[in-house]
Amino acid sequence: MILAEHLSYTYTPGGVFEKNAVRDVNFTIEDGTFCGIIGHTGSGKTTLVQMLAGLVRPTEGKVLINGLDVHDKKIRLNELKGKVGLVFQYPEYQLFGETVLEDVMFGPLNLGLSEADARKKAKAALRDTGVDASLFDSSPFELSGGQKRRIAIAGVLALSPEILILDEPTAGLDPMGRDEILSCISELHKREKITVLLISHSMEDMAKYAQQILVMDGGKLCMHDTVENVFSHGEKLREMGLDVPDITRVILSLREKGVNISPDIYTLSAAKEAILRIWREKKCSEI
Amino acid sequence: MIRIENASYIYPESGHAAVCGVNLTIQKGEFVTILGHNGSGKSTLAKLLNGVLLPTEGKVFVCDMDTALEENIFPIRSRVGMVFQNPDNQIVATVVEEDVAFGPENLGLPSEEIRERVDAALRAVDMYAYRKHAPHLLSGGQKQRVAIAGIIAMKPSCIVLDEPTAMLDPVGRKEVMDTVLRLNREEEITVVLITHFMQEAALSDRVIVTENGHIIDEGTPTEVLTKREKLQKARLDSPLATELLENLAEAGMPVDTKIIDVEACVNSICTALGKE
Repeated sequence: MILAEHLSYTYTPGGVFEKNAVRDVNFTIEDGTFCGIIGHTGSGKTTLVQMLAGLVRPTEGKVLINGLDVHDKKIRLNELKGKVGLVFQYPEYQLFGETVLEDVMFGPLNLGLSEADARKKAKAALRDTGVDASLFDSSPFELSGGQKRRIAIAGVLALSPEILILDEPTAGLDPMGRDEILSCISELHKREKITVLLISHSMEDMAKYAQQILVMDGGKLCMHDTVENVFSHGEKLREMGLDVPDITRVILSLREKGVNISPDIYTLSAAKEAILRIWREKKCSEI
Repeated sequence: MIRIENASYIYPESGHAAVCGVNLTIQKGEFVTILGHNGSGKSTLAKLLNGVLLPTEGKVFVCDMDTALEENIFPIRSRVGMVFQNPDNQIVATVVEEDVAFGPENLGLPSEEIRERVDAALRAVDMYAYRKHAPHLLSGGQKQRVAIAGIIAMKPSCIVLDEPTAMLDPVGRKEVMDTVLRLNREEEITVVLITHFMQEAALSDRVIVTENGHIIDEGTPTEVLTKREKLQKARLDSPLATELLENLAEAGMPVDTKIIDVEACVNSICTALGKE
């Protein structure tokens, strides 16, 4: 369980550039949840997850993971070591290994695993992110952007984190590359029951993969709810520089035109079923 | 405006053929979108448009000037400006208006003319109110609009934008696309947009799909974006509204599947349900 208590972060406190990046954020996320994080650029999403991962020390408040304080150095280096994995934005710029396999093995070796165990973990992580075994001995720098991105994500998965945090993992990828990476994360979430926190600007990705959503605005947490409840506040989201998925827009317009359809629908399959049901009812009533 | 004749580009280090025998003409005032998956050759194609790269085979002409001739490079680059994905890599000054002035200053223009061009460019992207601000404190969409203003201040007749919204939030994306559309419609600037977002492609006059360095499809947004199978083969996708309509049509509901926007999708469903 992740518990954020009165979490705040101020850049250059007392200075002329003082800026409250995160203000008094409180939430609880249960184990095994797939939670999306949305918010406009500069709303504090990245600072928030960096605090959750123990990389940035909050200026106020604390983060507890399974009751343990992430910012206690002793705990972070012992009980929580390798438990929280963070994939940064554009992680492919952080690759450095001479071969793909070597790059992914770096993390597990650092956790103190033997060469053989690290290799096993690395291979499994690469398989999970859909990297073909024929590429294991290639230099990561010779591969395409999408492949590099997968290798960088595999580098974090090889640590077997219980909590996986991804900061815009699909920015700049083509539609298929985006779906491939997110479905492998979703697969892993279901199989290993890990907790996933996903930052994305794509409302479609949220609709497809997340169970609940944290909405950040101006450093504050302004919503933490199920996906359908968050997307039912279309107007409020737009005011915050966000949007609702296209399917939600279709459903809301249909309702405005007098079609009796549930406003909670945000996925393609649910929309299809609901519309077809209404259409069949209408056909039956005409006969 | 731009004419590509049987152009190919092979990267000298890797021998990879990123563009293969492409023929394409872009008319003055047109808004053309180039779609394609990562590695399909679209960015290489864009770099051929103003002589950043020269074709290893074939020719590229900008206003009838061959990009391969050195004396043409300067006039070509002053006609075709480029905007890239990451706004942070394109901003050089510490004040917005100084950043926009960088290009015209380098043209050696008199200072009154520079002033005029900078003000006009900032107004054109709706960033005049921020002219004294520090660029690094702006949002992503604002920074990208400043980068566009820097290009506009050079008075180009064509702008090539290589995934200008990939790093932006939904509002930032809309700000940039509204700006691009206005420059195209009102200032009659030719636009070549490279993107992965189908909603953006839907706004253009013509869509071109690239795959393995070849152009595999071309047409109006509706023609191109409703061919789902073809798009999926090219690792792309059709808009969700189109996908929904296709799903409904497959189940027998009488809806129009040649639709790419939400509003028309809603109207088609309403008609089928007898709600006008």
